[in-house]
Amino acid sequence: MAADEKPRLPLHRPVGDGSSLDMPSAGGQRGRNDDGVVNFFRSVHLFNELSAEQIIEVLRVAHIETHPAGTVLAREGDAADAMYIIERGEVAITKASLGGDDVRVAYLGDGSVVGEMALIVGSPRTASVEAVAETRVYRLSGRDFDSLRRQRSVAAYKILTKLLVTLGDRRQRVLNRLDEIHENPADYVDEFRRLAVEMAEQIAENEGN
Amino acid sequence: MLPQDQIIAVLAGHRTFAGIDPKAWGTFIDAGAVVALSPDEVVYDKGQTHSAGYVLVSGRLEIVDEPYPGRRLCTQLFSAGSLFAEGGFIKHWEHRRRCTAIESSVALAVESHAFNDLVESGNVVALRIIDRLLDEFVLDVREANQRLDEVYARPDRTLRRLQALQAG
Repeated sequence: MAADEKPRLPLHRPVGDGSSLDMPSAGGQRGRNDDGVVNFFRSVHLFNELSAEQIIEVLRVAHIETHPAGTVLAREGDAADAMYIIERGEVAITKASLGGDDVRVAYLGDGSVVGEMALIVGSPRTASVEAVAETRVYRLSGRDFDSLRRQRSVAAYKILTKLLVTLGDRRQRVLNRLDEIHENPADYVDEFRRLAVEMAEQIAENEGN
Repeated sequence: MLPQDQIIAVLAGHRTFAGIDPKAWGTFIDAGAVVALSPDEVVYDKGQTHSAGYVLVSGRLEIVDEPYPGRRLCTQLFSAGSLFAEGGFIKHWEHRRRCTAIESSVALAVESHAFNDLVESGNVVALRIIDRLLDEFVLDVREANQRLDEVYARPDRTLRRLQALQAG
């Protein structure tokens, strides 16, 4: 390598599904494909403030998987053990309705992140994730991410900072909604009167049955 | 104002910050500002925007939360190393509470951009704060969702509350 040439970090595409990404230590070669992977991750919100080196550090503990349409990647109620970054394909997010039917609430495609809270809490999945087309994902398990966190990896903490923003924004939205209801009671009285009547009718119907 | 080594000695006693190298503390303190608060001084009020996160060094603060009309929750902070307005380390969110010093107090304020630089440099104090915030934020979101669920799960009770608010 020429003295003025930057050391190139190696990033090899995976050999097969479910395998760890094969990335030898610094000093190897990083090809055009590898730059493509880094660029893809830079386009993903959760990773967009990570340097190429930091993205590679995270990818070292990620696994790449390809799932045919119909595969359930995560099931509502199961322990959240991994986050998925969709490189290519499409997944449906489904939630069980009160009647017990699965309702599709969203479709997510290339560059979307699913189940990111698995990196910080192992609480049950709040929705199921099913591939609706052949889908290629990067799977980052909570356990592997924890190992980065224990090593005080800056890359891991930058991702956690992004997750904090997501959590904080979510909290703010819910609290703003509560404020809106209580600060403008006249706008909501009719809605809650209707909901109260519907609930009373439902209870009466259930008791009748 | 307290000298830096004294601030470090005080903050290192908090469980969040146990065992941290004084050098990391020095970097963290240099990135922020030591703020003196007078009794009755309002540190921030509901509706204002966060510009920084704070670590209490000494003194006593009162934080008042009114989650909805008629309900008032008061918390006092007096333990050195306690975080307040902690979302301000991360982003400029609007305050939802009012914070007042109830005696002469000292706090360390760190702006979010400076905090971000500390994370980028792997400063252990900043990383420990992120660990703490993750636990807090997860609980906060759960609590907020639970409150919203209660509003919709008991529409009769919500209706009575809204009618009472309307009446006056």
